[in-house]
Amino acid sequence: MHALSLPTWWIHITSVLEWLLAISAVMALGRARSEGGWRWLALAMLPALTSAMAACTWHLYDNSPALDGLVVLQAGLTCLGNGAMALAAWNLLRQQRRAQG
Amino acid sequence: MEPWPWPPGICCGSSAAPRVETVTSLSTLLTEALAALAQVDPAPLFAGSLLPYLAFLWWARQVRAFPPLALRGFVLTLVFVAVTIGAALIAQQRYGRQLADVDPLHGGAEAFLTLANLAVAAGFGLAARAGMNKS
Repeated sequence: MHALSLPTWWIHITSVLEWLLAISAVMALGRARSEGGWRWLALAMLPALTSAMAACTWHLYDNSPALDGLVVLQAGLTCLGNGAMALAAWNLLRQQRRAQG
Repeated sequence: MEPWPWPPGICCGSSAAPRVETVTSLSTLLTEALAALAQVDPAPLFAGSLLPYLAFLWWARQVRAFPPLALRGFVLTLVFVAVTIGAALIAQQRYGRQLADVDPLHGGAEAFLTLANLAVAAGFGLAARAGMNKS
């Protein structure tokens, strides 16, 4: 775990914690507005969380070439997550247009 | 080692052997799956992530209830991506290493993501609180 200095570890950990907070805040926003679309956005943010954990695991093992598959996993989950977030945003837009009648 | 008297076969009896084998083959499977995955070039997957992300931003900015600060954070994530690409090039060309192995460049680039995620979390958090006060 020494491939990363302590400050660099903190930068990573803080990013992940902020993303977790963001997910729960999106759900809270959905509850406050009584709109179901926000829960789909919160769900769509989960692949990126898993992606981050794959990356952190790779860093934890000093970016070992034996675990290079984790980087591919990270890339795949990023791709999947971004697609899911795009769909969730499109769904929010659809919900807004429907509410306008 | 002496076998435990009760329950029979829990420690060193013959029934423990298949369990150990199962765990070993599971970890072998995981290692092999990761090795197979490592054959794939991640670069096109990372590059292909950009298009759906731009679509996300395109639709999100049209949602009026989307917190502006959160949207700024999501746009800042693109800055993080650009900085990461630049830092990776410097790591490769100047130090002959991958970005994750050049700590100051790695940490410096990732700090942009920390900042972007801070805006995303604060944007949604403040909007949720404002929404709760309203209702």
